[in-house]
Amino acid sequence: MLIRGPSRRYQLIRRSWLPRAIVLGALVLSCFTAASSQEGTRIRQPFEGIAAQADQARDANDLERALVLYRRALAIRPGWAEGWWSLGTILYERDNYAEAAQAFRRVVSLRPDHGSANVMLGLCEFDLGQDNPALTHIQRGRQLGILKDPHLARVMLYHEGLLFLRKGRFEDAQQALSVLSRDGGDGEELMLALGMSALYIFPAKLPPDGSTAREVVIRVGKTEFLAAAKKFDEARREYSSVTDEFPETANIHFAFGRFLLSLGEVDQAVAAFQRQVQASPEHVPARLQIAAAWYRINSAGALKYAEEAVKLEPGRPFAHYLLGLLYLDTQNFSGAISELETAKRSYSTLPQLYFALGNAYARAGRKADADRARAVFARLNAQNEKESEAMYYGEKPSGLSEQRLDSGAPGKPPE
Amino acid sequence: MTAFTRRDLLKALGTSFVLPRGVGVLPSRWFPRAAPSGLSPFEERAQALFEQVPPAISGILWKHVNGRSPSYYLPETTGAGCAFLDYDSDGWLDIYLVNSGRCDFFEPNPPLRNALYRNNRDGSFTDVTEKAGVSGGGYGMGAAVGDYDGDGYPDLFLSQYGRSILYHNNGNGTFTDVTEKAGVAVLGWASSAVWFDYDNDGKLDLFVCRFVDFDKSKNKLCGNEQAGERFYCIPRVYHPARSWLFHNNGDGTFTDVSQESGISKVLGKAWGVVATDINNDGLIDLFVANDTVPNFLFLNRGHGKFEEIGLEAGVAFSQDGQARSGMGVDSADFDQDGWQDLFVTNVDQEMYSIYHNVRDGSFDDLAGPLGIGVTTRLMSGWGVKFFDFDNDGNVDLFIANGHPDDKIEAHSNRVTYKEPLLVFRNTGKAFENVSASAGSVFSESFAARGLAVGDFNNDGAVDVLVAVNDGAPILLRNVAAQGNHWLGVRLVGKRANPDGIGARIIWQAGDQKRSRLKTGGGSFLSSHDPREVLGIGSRTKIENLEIRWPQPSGKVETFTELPIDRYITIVEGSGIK
Repeated sequence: MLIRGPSRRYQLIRRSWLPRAIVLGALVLSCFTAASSQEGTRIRQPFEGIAAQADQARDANDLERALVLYRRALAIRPGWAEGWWSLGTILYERDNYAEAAQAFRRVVSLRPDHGSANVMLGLCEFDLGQDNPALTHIQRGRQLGILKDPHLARVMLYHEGLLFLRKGRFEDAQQALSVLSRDGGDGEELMLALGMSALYIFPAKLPPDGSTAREVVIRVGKTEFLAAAKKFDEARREYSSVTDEFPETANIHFAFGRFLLSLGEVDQAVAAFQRQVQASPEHVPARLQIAAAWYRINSAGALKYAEEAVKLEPGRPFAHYLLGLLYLDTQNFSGAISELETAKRSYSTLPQLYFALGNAYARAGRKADADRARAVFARLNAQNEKESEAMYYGEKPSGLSEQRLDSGAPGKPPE
Repeated sequence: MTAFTRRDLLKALGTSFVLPRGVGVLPSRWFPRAAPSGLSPFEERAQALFEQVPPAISGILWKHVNGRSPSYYLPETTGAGCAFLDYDSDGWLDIYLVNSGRCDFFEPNPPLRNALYRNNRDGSFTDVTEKAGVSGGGYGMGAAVGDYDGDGYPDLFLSQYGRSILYHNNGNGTFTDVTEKAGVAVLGWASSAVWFDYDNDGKLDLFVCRFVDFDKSKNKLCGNEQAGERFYCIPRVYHPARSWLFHNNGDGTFTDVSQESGISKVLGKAWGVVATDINNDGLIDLFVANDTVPNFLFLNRGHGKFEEIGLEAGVAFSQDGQARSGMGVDSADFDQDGWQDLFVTNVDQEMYSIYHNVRDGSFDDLAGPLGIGVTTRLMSGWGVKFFDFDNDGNVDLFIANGHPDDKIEAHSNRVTYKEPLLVFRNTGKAFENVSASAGSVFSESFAARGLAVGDFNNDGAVDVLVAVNDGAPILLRNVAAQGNHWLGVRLVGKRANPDGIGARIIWQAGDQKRSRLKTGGGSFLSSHDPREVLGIGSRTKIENLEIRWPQPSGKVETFTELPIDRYITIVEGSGIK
């Protein structure tokens, strides 16, 4: 269910939202319609008559007839964004995602700033298995702002979370699903998705229904739900309990550690990550979490973990980047330069990488190289600043985050 | 001389970061991270450090009004500042509080005004604003106090969103708006300002931070228009602007030297500024906190020129190369190695920075090893000040906090709008978070902004004034220094600048030798007691006090047989008065 499409619950929510969405969306688009109505002056009577009939049929829930009439009206006036919106929502309602996507694509091309149309297009693409454009459109819609409708917001966040899960961007999934939890989302599907994001489980590897492992995922999800509701003490107790009961569950100490880290409890978090390393000696992300948590606080102590991570997974650029930062912080400039240059092969457009390299070169006395690295940093940083889209304060990741640096690239969940 | 490096830190040398110069500082185990829960040895024996003076006692009934509107104009959430100043030169600190007011987006009815409270010398204050003529008249931001004409009476620069004001102190309890006449009329969003003598000509010049390029017509909607959600914008969405530097001509007028000095070469979103000397060359530098763009470190190259070296110095960005939301700044030599260190407050998730001077023009952020990073990770800081609250001879740290977005709790799990005050005690080995036992006010939360320090009751214990956005100010009486001895010093420059900014004070009390540079400004939108309180702990005698006046005199004066537990005034070239 989670692998192939949206949950029944969120589909039900989606459908209960649709009639209102048609009206709300049409209202939002009506300004545009009025502005563009001049194009059809010569054929006003036929178009307006058909459009009115289409709206009547839609309102009367005669969707078959509404479809025919909207298509006829849009053939006369293809710039009628409101008509494409109504057509798209009816097609979506009828699970005709391919044609609905085409309709919403027309709305988006006519009104690129229409957030809800972007989201609807993304939802269609989700159902069509087109994950990359689906995520792009949902995120764009979210940034643009959507209709004031809690159901649409929840459906959007849920699907965004699922798309992140499919791509292995578990931290991003967790963030989207936490927002959904705060915004009134609930139900087993959400708990399951939250649990998967915390435990770094790809949808394809979800334990079977009815299994104990699945129950553990749901319990972890419920714990994350408590955290999202700011019930931190309860969440801590529940995390502690579930990790004690199921210490062998993959990534469970890792999830607990990340939860503790989010509370700023570094020592306890590191202890949890260390338990994870003990339980799964090949666990690279837990080592990287320890190294990142201790960076600047206990860089000398963190070195061991970053070095082990690089040894276990030499192809992981974040491990090289982090090790480079730690070498820099412990005055091993040649080691820092070597690791950062390795990381540069994958992070060639990451300003922070050049910032660190500039510092490492400067400390090593390589002034010319430092100046060059700093110049690249300044250029990339200015570019990033222009592209930055956050306009208001909100939940944002703290410290060094592999997924933030790797965003777009597939995640590497531990086995 | 061996430079302090992080390698020194790891080599585990020494026992205290208050060490002779050239000796490395401590390993990380000597910097136990501040633990908010659980009692430290200091907390176990401590009583409250600060007591709030209620309005019923202080007589300070004035409140800040931010004029919060549905349009979420950014200035609403950023003010305001406050100041300790002795406006009537009677030896007792008075209080100045800045309010919002009429501007292009705000028409308060009834009108709002700033407040000047005269010290009644009994712990209470009297509102003398109207008589003094300093009620403001715009959307106020901060206050910078300095005797720019050397007449012995402190003048007041009021920074505002809109038109800032320079109030000249007439010496008779009144002030005159001389903004235009003096040539310091700045239009735009001015924030913190500082008086200092950048060209060592013995006259106080004026640096004024400018925040973003903003007016009502440029207000942006940040949120979700279709959902009707609106929040205060991250300043990232507004364009940066140039700050101002004014040269004091010595005749009551100033010349805008922003361009030729190099100050206006770089555009920032400046909030806090401190005038300090980072390389001990006798030329005062400026450290400026910028919001969402890199901080500035303006190195004074002499001959009226500044060079911005923030990136090379390692103070422009976070350690992982991110520009942060710099708010308040300060500077002090917290480890007594003879070199000025820096502090900057940021918003949540960014952590505040305490930059240790590496002595080669660069700095090392010790927020991580000192525990300040972990403690402040979820907090947003504004006013900040290094000062020795317990008079043990080590400069401690006080920070005012509060998130800029009053709706942050709607979209953040762990960050709150109102936040507690923080106080860290410098043990000589570490900064220990002693907030939990510092007094009941530290268990409350505020939308704190400006922070000024000064000894309003002349007991030698430096008190604290905190300005609260859309609320009453908090006046805190210091009760932490009881039992420790001190000497309060007011410096009056004659050839050097009148406020003695840039003077170095060195004192020896028994086994304890300390050195302090008199900095200018610091904190956020606020101004402080011009006197320096020299704490000597339980020692009962100061054997030696040396004043190294800044240029143009550069005079070095040494005093012995000094009194303690009282204030003295040292007039350059004339001794103790």
